[in-house]
Amino acid sequence: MVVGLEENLAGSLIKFDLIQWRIEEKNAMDVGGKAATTFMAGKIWLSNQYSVPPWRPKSLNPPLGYCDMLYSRIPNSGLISEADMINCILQYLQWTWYYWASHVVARLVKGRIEAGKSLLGDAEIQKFLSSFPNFSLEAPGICCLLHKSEKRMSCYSPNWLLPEILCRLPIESLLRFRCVSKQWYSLISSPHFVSLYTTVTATSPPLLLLRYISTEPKKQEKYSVYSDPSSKNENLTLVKELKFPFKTISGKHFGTVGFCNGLVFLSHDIYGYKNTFILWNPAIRKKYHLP
Amino acid sequence: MASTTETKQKKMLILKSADNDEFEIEESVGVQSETIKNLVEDGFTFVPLPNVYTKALIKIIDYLKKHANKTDSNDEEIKTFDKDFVNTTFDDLFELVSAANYLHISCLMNMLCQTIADRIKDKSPEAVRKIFHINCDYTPEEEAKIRKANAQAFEGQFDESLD
Repeated sequence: MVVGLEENLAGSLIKFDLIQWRIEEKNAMDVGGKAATTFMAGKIWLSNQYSVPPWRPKSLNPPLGYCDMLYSRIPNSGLISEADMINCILQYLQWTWYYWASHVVARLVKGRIEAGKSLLGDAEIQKFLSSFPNFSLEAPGICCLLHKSEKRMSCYSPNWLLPEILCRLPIESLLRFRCVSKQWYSLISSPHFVSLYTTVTATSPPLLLLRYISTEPKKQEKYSVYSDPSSKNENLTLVKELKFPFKTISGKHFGTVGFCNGLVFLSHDIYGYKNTFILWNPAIRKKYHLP
Repeated sequence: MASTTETKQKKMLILKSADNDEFEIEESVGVQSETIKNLVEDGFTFVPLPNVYTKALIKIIDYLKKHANKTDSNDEEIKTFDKDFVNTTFDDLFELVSAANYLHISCLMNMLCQTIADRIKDKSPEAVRKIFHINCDYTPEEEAKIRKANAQAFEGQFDESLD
């Protein structure tokens, strides 16, 4: 269940594919007399959110039917028996939908906790889970999902504590702390942590992404992050200059198609008939060329 | 509100720590903890806390007392108190955060987690391992690979100290 960044990117890609770009373009502004456009970029952070499981093979449509139906019933607890849940998990695993399977397992385990049965001492659950080679209670997805129920269990466990602490760190520290241990790596890269991180950082004041295009010398594009002048101080304060890693072939500038959760979607129109699309996450300096 | 609390005799609660020490506090102080509040609403006045040790409980009761008397005028005083409160070792902070979690005191949880995050954010991975008592389970090759992939995050000097 270790999710690498590549899968992360692929996951967000599917999201963009499914949900239409929400372009949050603010008014074009003139800054310092230079033609520049300020976009509301949300927050420049690692923030790919998931609407579909990142493990889904791209070529497959979601399997409609039994397990989906079951899943939609699961949020209303009590509607579904443990045996049904186990069936559901098996179905998901058969489709290699580990993400959803982990949801159901978490639900199952949570139900047991709420019923006053212990989690780790429960030999039955342990035995059941050990029958799936790819699955364990230590898997990051499950840890995070169990996070809430574990709070009630109140035992000291770094499983609930770590996400709470790590989601308050700046992105550079997170990237560095990936090499602390394998557990930290998988936690920091897991979709649940990413969405927790997005929720926590969403409360901090928004940042502005300034795009500056010069005509002389040609081809120059600069992106920098500023604090939002509408919050308290009146001036734009430079937070960070971003390294722009791309070059166009034609000498034209890149076009920005849209922004979402700190990701920038760039397009480059070559000779008017072929387009190149790039998905750029400036916070972690990763890029993804769309086919 | 204030008049009703004054006219009635102040309700007291007894908290019992994991080391079997008992502490008497006012109900109004205790109910800042969701866990205690739920018990009080169910009519309990004796609250055993099997996951909270005396050392942490004393500090947390201090915190609750201070924050129960929060007004506009003592804002600065509380800030100073909070600053002193978190000025302790990492192990103590972990102990406190786990107690705060059990007691469901979200403002204290936030403050403690934020403090830990602020204190580790400039540290090296080696220092973080020691602070969290983690054994590195990477082989040297694996670690080198991750460092290389995230090279930008390793530019510059990092804090190696453990406090």
